[in-house]
Amino acid sequence: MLRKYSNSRTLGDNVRLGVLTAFSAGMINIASLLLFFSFSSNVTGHYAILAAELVKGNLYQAAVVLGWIFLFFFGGFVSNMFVIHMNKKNTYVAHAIPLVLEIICLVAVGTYGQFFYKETLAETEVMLALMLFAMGLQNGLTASISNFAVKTTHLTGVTTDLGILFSMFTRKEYRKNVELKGKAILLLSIASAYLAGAIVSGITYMHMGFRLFYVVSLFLVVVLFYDFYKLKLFRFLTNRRKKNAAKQVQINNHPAFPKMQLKKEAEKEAVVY
Amino acid sequence: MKLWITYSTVFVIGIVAVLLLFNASANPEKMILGKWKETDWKFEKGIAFAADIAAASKTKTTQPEFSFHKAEDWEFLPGGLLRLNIAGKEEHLTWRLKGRGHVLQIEYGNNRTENYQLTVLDNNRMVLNAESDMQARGIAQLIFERTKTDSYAQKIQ
Repeated sequence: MLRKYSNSRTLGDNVRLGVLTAFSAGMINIASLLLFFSFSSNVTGHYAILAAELVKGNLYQAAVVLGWIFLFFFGGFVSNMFVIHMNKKNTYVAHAIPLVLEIICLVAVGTYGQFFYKETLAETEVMLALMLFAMGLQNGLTASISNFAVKTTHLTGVTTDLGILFSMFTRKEYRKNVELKGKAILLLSIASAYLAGAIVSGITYMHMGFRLFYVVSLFLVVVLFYDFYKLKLFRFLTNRRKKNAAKQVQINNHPAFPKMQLKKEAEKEAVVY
Repeated sequence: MKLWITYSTVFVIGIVAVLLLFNASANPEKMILGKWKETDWKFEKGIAFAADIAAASKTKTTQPEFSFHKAEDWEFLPGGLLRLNIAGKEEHLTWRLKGRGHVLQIEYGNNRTENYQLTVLDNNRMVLNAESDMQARGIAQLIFERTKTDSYAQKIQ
C-alpha cells in the first residue's frame, strides 16, 4: 500500500489504501461531529462557515475556523514534504512518517479525551485542530502517493467523479474501458468504506467514547505494517530462494554428485517395479 | 534559502493573522457568563404551530423536549454551572460550549442533555436555536436579554 509511488501503483494497491484510510476518515468525522459538534475530515463546510462568521462579525469563531483550515492545509503540506524529499532515500519510510504522525495525533486526542478532558471550549478547539491536522496529513499522503487518484477524507470529488463515470458508462466503448472500470471500482470502494466507517463510528460512539480513536489508529497501524510485513516476507522468500539456489550449486559441484544421482534413480526404478 | 524565508514569512503572517483575530474578539465562554432574562421564544414554523405547542405544554398533554420555556432567568457561572430560576425555584445544571463556540450544551443530573445553537451572543442579547422533536418539527428560538445588574463579563474584561 505504501511502498509504491505514483504510476507504479496497481488498482489493488489503491483500493486497499483507499478502503482502509476512508474507513478511518469516516469514523473520525462522525466521532468529531458527535463529540465536538464539528466536522474534522472535510473543510468545504468550514470555508462557508468562515465566510458566515466574518459576515456576522464573530471574529473569535472566524479565527477558530481559519486556524482549522490552516491546519488541514498544513497537514497536506507536511505530508507531501516527506514524500517528495525522502522518497529517493527510502520510499516506505517517506510514506510511513505522515501516517505515524497521524496516529500520534489521534492517540493524543483519544488519551486526552479519555483521561483529562474537562469539556472547555479551548480543549475542544485544540482537539479538533489536531484532528483536522491528522486528516490533512492523511489526505495529503494518499493523494500524493497515488498521483491524486486516492483522496479519502471527503467525498465531494469522489461523488462528482462517480457521476461523470456512470454517465460515461452509458456508452459501450467506455463500458469496455478497463481503466475507467477500475476507477469506478476504486471510487465506489472509497465511498462505501467512508460510509461504513461513519456508521460504525455512530453505533460504537455511545459505548466507546474517546476510545474510538484507538480503534481508528489500529486501522492505520494495519496500513503501516501491511507493507512492512510484505517487505519482510518478500525478503525472507528471496533469501530462502537464494540459499536454496546456493545449496543446489554446492550439490551440483560435489565430486560424488553423479554417483548420488545414479543411486537415487536406481532406487526410484526399484520402487516402481 | 530565499524560498525557505518566503515560506516561513507566509506561515508566520498566517499565524499572526489568526492570533490577531483571537485578540480582537471576545471568547464566547467568557461572554456568556452572567445573568440572562428570557424575553421571548418562538417556533419558526409559524404562529399557529407555536400556539399549539404553547397550549400543549400548558396543559401538559405532551412532554416537552426542551426545558427552555420553563425557566425565566438563566445565570451562567464560571466552571460550567448554570442556575435556572423556574417560578421562584432554583435548579442547578451544567453548561458547556462545543464546536467553535456555536453549540451550548446543557446537562441535567439524570444524564439528559440539551443542545442549542448559539446563534447570537453579544453584550446585551443572546439567541438560542433548538431543533425540537415535539409535535411541530421546527426550530425553536429562544431570545434572552442580559440582566443589567450582572457584571461577570465586565469583571473579566
